[in-house]
Amino acid sequence: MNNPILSDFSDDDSMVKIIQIFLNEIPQRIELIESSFHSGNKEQLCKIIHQLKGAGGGYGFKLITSNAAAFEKQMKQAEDNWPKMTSGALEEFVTILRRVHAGRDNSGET
Amino acid sequence: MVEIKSIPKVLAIDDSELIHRLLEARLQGENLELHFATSSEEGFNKAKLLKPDVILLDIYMPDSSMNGFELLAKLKEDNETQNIAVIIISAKGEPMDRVRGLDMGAIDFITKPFDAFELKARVRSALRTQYLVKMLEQRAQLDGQTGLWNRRYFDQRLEQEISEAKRHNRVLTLALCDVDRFKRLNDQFGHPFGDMVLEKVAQILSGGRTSDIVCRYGGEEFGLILSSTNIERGCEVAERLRVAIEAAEWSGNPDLVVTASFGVCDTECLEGNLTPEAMLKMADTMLYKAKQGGRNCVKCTAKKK
Repeated sequence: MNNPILSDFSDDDSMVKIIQIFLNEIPQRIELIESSFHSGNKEQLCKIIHQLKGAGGGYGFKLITSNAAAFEKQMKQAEDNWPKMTSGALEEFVTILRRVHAGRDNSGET
Repeated sequence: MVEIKSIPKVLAIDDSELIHRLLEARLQGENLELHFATSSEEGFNKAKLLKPDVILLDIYMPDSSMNGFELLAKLKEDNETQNIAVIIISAKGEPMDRVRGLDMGAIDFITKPFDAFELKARVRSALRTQYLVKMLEQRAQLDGQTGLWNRRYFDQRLEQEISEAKRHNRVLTLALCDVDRFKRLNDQFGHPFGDMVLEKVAQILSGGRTSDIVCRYGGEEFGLILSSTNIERGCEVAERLRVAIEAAEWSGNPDLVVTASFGVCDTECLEGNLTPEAMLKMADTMLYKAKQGGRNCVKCTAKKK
């Protein structure tokens, strides 16, 4: 369940370097996602989720894109009580990011 | 004569550094120069400055004053950016967003996350289209017979150059050149020879300074826009061209001498009335004087004291 997730492009020489940068930045992104969520900054949270939705698959992490899309959809549907309505999606999304981050040491392997 | 850049420029306007890096990795190896902007404001300024061939435009940029659609509208309204091919590249995949973007003038739409091969193919396709559009635009501004800029381009360019000269307080010289007794040459040697004369004169006129803008004004008349050139220097240029035309050799007619007359004026002689029409009228008056003065000569307005 919590196995590391590897990039579909980890054997693509043109991608190895930027995948590493992407992976190294994941802890900061998780921190930003969680702090935006807990401080009620919906705008900031939507921005990060939307960016990861657009970029995740491009870096070879389709699960980031699909989970971000689901999270974004819930955020749009939820109104004032959005923190309560989306806390499950948040947890799921952060778990995906942690699994992706956990794969950083194996990212050269397939 | 007319520039079509050999390495095309692509400008990516997207607020995400993640996408910048991805585009850079995925488009490396393609024959293009990639530039980036992280906001719509920066994107618009770079579009005006760099004049890219293609813009890859994100739609959702919450920290910018304009979203991608608003920026697209602004790009399409501005004379300097309206012909740049725009590919919308967005994670908003709703069909109505595609329809809206395409109806607003975008030429294509790529959904994020994008496939690397599809991205490259779509960018290449846009660059090919841009190349053909530019070539057609260029052809529409060229004179078919001489290969010089045509009258339409001349009128546009003269207006631009005058406006630049006013803005930067620079001097600009205009020269009109007319082949002497051209009708007689046509009647005596035939129209194919007349065509050859026009082509050779065009070749001589465009063989001068690279900064000079040489156009076929109509018939046997040519216009030369000499930027940052005062009347003295402009007259020297015209005199050198007059001598070169007079010295040209004509195959099959070794004794023939073809000549041309020049009328030259600069912006400083038109105080308070600096318009293309006024400048053309003044150059034409000087050309008339050259014709009245016996042809094969250069007549210039007096230097401003």
